[in-house]
Amino acid sequence: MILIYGSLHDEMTELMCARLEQLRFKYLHIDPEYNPENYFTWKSNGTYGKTNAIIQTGKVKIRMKDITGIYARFAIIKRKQKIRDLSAKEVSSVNYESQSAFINFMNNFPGVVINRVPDSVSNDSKIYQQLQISKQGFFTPKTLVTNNPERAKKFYNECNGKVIFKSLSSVRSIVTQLTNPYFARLKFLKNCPVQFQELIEGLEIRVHTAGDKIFATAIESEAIDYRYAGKYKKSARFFEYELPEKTAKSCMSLSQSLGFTVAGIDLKKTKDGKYYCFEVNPSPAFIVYERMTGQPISTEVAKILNGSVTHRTGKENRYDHL
Amino acid sequence: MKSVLIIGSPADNFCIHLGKFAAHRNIISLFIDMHDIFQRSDIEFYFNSGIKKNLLVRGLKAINAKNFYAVFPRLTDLKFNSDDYSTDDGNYINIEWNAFYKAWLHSIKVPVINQILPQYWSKKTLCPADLCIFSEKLNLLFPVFITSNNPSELKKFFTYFNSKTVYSPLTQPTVSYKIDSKEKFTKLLSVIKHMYVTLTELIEGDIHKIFIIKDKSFAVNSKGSMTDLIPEYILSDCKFIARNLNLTFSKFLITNKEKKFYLTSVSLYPDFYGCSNESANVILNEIFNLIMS
Repeated sequence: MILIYGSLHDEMTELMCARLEQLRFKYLHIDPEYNPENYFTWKSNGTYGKTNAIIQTGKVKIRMKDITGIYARFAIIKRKQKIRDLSAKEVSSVNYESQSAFINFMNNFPGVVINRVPDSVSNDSKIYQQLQISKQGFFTPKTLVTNNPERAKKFYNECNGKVIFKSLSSVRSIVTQLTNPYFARLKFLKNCPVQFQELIEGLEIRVHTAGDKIFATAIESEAIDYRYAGKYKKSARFFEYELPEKTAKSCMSLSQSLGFTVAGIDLKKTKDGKYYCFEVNPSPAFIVYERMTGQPISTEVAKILNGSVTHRTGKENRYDHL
Repeated sequence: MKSVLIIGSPADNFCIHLGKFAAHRNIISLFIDMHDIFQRSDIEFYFNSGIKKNLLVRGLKAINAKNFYAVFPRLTDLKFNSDDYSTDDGNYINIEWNAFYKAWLHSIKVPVINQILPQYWSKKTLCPADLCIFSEKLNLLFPVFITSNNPSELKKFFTYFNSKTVYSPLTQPTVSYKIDSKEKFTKLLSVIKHMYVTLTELIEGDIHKIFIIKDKSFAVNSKGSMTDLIPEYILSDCKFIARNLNLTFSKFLITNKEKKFYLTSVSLYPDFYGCSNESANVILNEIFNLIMS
C-alpha cells in the first residue's frame, strides 16, 4: 500500500493519485485537511522507542508495516470549517500541530518517503543551498546578497548591467532582470536583503532525479523566468534533453547528498558548454515537464513508492548511516 | 585581539554566564541581541563558486568572523519586528532575513556552537518523538508516547500508564502539562475535534542534566552539582546522539527511575538553569579549552 499525503487541490497530488490508479497500485490518500473521523495513531511500542502507526480513513485501515512508500506534499491547510473561538493565528498553530504529527511519523517511517521534510529544509535558504551546490562541482553564478543599495548598484556595474534578482528563501519569487525602473526601488533594500545574481545566458534545463533515473528537460524561452512566460506573453518550448554523463552524475550526487529520492534541479548550459546550477527543489512539480515532453517521471516515482524498482538514492531511514 | 561573539538575548542565563566567564579568562566577548543583529547592519555576502566576501557592518564597525574564537548563536530563528520596516509583509521579511542568517552561520570559518543541521533549524529541543529514530542503536530508554486522534487508543494509553501521562505539543516540546486525572484527560480529549494529541508516559525520578562538549561529558544532578553517578554506557549514548546531530555542545535530560535511565529531551541551545555556578564554570571552562585549542 502506498500512502499519498496532500490536498487534491494540488495538481501534483492529483497526478500521483491518477498515476497510481492507472498502474493499479494500491494507495491510500490522506487529505491534510483535518478530519476528526479519520483516525491516525502513531505510537512507540515500548521503552526502546520502536514505533508503529495505524491510519484509518472510512473503512480502510492500514498499519505502518503494510506501507511500501509515502509521497507527501505539504501545503498550507485551508480548513473548510472554521474553528469557533479561535483566532486566525491559533488556527494556524492547530494546523501546524496536526501537520507535525504526520511529519514526525514520516521521519520515522522505515521506507521510502518522497521527500522527508527535514531533508527538504535546506531549500529554506537558497544561499545555503548554493554553498552546497558549489561543493558538487557545478558552476554557480556570481551572487551578491545585500541590503545596501550602493553595493547593489556596484554589483550591477561589475556584471555589465546584466543582473537578475530573486528571493533568498523558499518563498517563490519571479526571477526578474534588474533594469532602470527598479533602481528607484533599491532604497527599500534596507527593509530586507535581496539576492542579486549575474544573468547567465544559456539553455534552461530542469533535471528531475527519481531514484537512480534522471529526466532532463530543456526549455527554450525568451522569458527571464520561463515559469512565468505566459504572464509576460512570451513563449516557452520544452523538450527532452540528454545530459553529459559527468553532469548527470553531479546531479545525482547533489540529490543524494541532500537526502532526496526525487528532486528538481535547475541548470543552465552556456554557449561555451558550462553547466551552472541554481537551485534544488525538494518537492518538484514535475507535472508541467511530464505533460510537455511525455517523460514518464510520475511512473518512475510510482514504481519507487511501490517498491517495484530498486534504487540507491534516498535514505531508507534518516539515520541509515549510523 | 580575538574574542567570542554571542548572538543571544540579555535574558538568557547562558549568555550571562558565558560573558562573565570570558572576562574571567581575559577574553573579550561581544554580545549582540539576536533580535537586532541585522537591523542596524549593512550586509554584503558575495560568492562566486565559493565565498569571496562575507561582511557584516554595524554602524561603522565591520564584524569579521575571523576575529572570533567562536560564535555562539542562541537560536537559528530570528524574529524581526515588522513595525520597524516600511512594509506590509512582516512575515516575508522574517523568512528572508532568516534565510540569510542561516547561510551566514554556515559560511563563517570559525567554530559555530552549535552549527545546527538544516533538519533541525526550526527546533530548540528534541523530544522522544524526534529521538526515537536512534532507539535501535542505544541502551538509553525512551518514554513511551502516542500521537493520535482516536479516543479509544488515547484512553487505552492513559489507562495503561495509570493516569500518569504528559501532554506536550509536538511543535513546542518544552511546554508540558501533566495529564494525571480523568478530568484533565477528558478536557484534553475535547481538542481531538481539531488536531492530533501527543501523550507521553510520565517518568518520575531524579532528573540529571548531561552536558556533552564534543567528546566529553559532564553530568549535573538534580541539586545542580556535578556528579559521577551516571553509568558510562549512558554517557556514551548521549555522545553518540550529539555526534550524529552535529552538536558541539548539547544538554540531555535524563531521568533515573529505579536505576533505569530515560532520555526525555535534548537541548540544541543548552542553558544552565538548575546548575550551580560551580557546575556552569566547569562546563564553560571545557568550552573555552575547546575553542582555544
